[in-house]
Amino acid sequence: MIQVELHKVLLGPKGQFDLEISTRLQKGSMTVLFGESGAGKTTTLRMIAGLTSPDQGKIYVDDAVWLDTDGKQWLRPQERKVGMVFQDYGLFPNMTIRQHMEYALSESQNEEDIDRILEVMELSGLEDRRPGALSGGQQQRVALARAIVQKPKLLLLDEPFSALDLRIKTKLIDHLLRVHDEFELTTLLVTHDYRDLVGLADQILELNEGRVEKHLDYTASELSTTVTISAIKREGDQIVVYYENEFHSGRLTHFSHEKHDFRIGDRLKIGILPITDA
Amino acid sequence: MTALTPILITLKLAFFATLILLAVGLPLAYWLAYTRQKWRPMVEAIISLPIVLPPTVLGFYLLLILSPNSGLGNWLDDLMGLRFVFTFEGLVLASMIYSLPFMVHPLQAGLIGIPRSLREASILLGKSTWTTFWRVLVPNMKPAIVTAIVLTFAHTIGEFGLVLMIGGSIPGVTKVASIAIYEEVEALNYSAAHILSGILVVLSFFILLVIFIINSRYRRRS
Repeated sequence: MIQVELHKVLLGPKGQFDLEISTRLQKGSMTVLFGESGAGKTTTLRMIAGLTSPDQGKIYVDDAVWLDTDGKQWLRPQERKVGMVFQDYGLFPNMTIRQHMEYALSESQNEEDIDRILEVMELSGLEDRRPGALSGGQQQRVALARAIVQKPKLLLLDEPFSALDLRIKTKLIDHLLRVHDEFELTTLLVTHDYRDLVGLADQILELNEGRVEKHLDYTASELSTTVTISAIKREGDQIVVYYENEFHSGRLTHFSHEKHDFRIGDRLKIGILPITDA
Repeated sequence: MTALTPILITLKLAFFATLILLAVGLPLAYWLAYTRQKWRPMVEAIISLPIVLPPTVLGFYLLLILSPNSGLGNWLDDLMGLRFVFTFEGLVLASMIYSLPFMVHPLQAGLIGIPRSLREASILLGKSTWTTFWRVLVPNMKPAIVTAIVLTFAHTIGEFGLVLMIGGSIPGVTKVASIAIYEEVEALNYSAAHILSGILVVLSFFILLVIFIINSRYRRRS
């Protein structure tokens, strides 16, 4: 279990705002964090990785403390065992793919780990190429492969699909899910386009005005989501309340002789059931 | 000692000054590129002073500071037996100060030009700053290193006022090519001045040519 509580004052498109992150990541789960650009998504990842300092915060990973500003504890990024896929991939132009993997390998590991990852990521034939001789999708896979060599406690992905076309995007999601399961990773993925990932993620969070809102949590025993009332209509003797959010829309009926206090724009918490297509 | 001795002294001086400056310049450029210290502009201004100041100003102060009559000069002489006035060692030291910005600026620009994610990716792979520097940063800033070496070397070959003041034009020791040419011209000995000047022109041209060939090959490869 990874517990994250972070606070930092940021400058966004609409001026200064407080970024308040409070969330838990279950071991082995995949969490998607989405939000508009400038919402603080990348900063959140960087703070978790230790590349940016929060103004205040705590990060607990299993029993280890990565960060505790109250107790003045801070684990160096080198020691956090975080795998990160940067938005621009951050590949080393001077190294071939195999050299990337060897560079990432820790002393206790052996070359067989590399072969297995290259095979899963379908990079086996490209080992002697440098990043400059690879397509965007291949570079992305190298970045992902390099990030998981050390079997990270947490895999962070920053907008991994932003520069890829739909076909390659689908393929990458496929690879991502495969390594996520095979290497039992705990993954936090940041994106502005969450739609491809609905149903694949265990948890979907939205970063809105500096705060995290939980949209879907398949790891929780109670399945619920927060929706917004979009319309209220009278149909016969019933009041029909229409609601929606990014993933769900629906209606609920209310008998008019009961008093109601629904207003358009109100937020409701509703229970949901996962339904699979028959 | 032959007529070509000044050329050899010049080359020897440029070689040592460049070599030592590279060792000094790399960590300095690293610090300048990544530090968030408030007094970085101050350090940058000091490093850049030799670009603006007349070399004679530098020479004058160095002469004062390093002379055996001064505190520092005396201390260096007593403790290590090092004399920097009118010696070859003094020329190397003066050239290093004079050419420092020409080494540091290209290196600093090269480091800043490397995407931040490369350094951060290496750190998140558990690598130390040292390993990251040598395995990731240096190999990806080769053109900047080549440029820095060439500019420093060329700039050292071209100095005149500073080496004259600190070295004093001692034949076979501190009389470099630029000073020798000046003295030959003053003595109306044009043929000797021609030989030395011609050698410098050809040498400088070929050094620059080699550099540009290396850089264009590197650019084509990446």
